[in-house]
Amino acid sequence: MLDERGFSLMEALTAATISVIAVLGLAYSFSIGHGLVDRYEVARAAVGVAQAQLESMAVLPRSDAQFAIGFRSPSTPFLYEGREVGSSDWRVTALDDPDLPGTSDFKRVVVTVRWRQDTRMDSLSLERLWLP
Amino acid sequence: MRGLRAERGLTLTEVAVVMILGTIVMGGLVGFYLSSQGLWLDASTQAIAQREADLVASAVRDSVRKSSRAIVTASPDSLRQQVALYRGGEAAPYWYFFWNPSDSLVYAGPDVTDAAAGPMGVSPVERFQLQASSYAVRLDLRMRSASGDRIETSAFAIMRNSAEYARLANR
Repeated sequence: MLDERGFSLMEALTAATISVIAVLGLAYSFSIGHGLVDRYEVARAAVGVAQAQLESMAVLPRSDAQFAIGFRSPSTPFLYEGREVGSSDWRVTALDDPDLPGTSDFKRVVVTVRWRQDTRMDSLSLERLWLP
Repeated sequence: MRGLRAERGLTLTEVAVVMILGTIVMGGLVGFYLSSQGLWLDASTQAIAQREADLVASAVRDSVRKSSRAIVTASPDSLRQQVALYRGGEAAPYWYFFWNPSDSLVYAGPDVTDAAAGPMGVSPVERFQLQASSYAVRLDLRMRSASGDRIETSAFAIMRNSAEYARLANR
């Protein structure tokens, strides 16, 4: 004879609990995805600022004090949608290429943009090598 | 043989309780599905707009770098402009980036009246402001995604073939 007992209350509650956990996990993943898109919205603007800074250095004479190894620029505000969300600065360091003689074969310019989004601090750095 | 009690079916109360519970569960699932779909759609359209903003910025940057001269015109207004790029000593521009008032999209092409030129993206552009000096061009761009989010980006590029850049680079 077939077992026609059906589900017990405990079984039904367990299944419902597991389903709720799965659905909450899905909802959480959606919100995480949207948060990442929001995060990269400002990050892309920060990349534009860093690229612009590196590009503008192309017209600086190599003998300029801002190109000296060890130079660190003052911090400038990083604006997004008309408000200050962070700051950017850049520094010059020496780079040693082991295949070349000497210890300061290149000048490495590193632009760093830092910003706050919601409660989290974020940052990115772009760098370019220049002949000394 | 099963007894009569085992085959009595469901009472109206049991059916009502099951239907109410089913409705609540289905309502929750449908609500969750709709809100998830809205969230996904919002994120997707925003990501598309971000990629398009990147595309426009990098296209302007690449074109400016190989140009020798740039002329910005407030056309149709100071918020939505156009830039004409020149090569070498040529008298006529070889490339334009311009905002089209008929669809609020940014176009690029050898001619601003070129009907065959397609838009660079599908996200409406609210701001396409350019500043040109004798050796560089700066772009400030603001797009709006299909879900209404604003995307901002900027680009700055030096005209590597400009006389001013040659002068500055050889100091």
